[in-house]
Amino acid sequence: MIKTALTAIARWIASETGWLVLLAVAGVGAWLYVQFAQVRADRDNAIHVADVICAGVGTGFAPSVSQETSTNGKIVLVAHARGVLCQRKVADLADFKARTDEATAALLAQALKEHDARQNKDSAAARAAADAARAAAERMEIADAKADRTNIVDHEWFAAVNGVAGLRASDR
Amino acid sequence: MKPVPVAVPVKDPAPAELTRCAERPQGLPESKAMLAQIPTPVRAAIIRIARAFAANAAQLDRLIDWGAPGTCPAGKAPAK
Repeated sequence: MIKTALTAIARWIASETGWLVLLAVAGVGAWLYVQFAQVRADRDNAIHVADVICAGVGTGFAPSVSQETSTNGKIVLVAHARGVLCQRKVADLADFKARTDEATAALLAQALKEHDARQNKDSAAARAAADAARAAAERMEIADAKADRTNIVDHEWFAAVNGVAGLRASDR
Repeated sequence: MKPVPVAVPVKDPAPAELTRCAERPQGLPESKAMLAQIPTPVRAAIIRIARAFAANAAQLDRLIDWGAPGTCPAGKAPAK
């Protein structure tokens, strides 16, 4: 019975070949059409996104022509393919950011180092000044104690005052 | 992305008038012939003033050295 049915279907296919081929071609065509519609939508979307990205960095995505000065000083027209200017700009920006970060870090590190060196030097100077002041103050105390009773001061007392003030003796 | 401030070195030195090293004039004469009678309060005042003078001069020199290292080295002979 199955054999009978298959034979009938084969006979029907044989008699309707033209229609069936047409149907198959139409099916493939419809499938291609749907595929193409999706591809076109994807392409339009991609171009739109590229336009938006390029506008964000201040250039266009479309191909363009610009005037440049060549090395021999002549003005020449340079054609740029689609997206080339935009790509260059983006690369420049990324490069700018990377190098700016690097330079900033180096600058801050240098400033920190200089500050530390300065701090150390000043600490040393402060210590030296404090030591000198302490030694002078001791001498001053001794010299002043001698004058306590009589209020008479001599050259030692004057020298001690000069020491406390950090001054040289007067010529006269 | 966190915004990063870009640092630049700023050179803004104070005017020359403000960065002169501390003035250290000649002090008291120390010749052996000098004798004086000075009452205790006056002696104390002289000592106070001398001590403050040294402290202020040292502080000024350190401040100037902070901004421009080596300008007023410690113990530098006074100009006059």
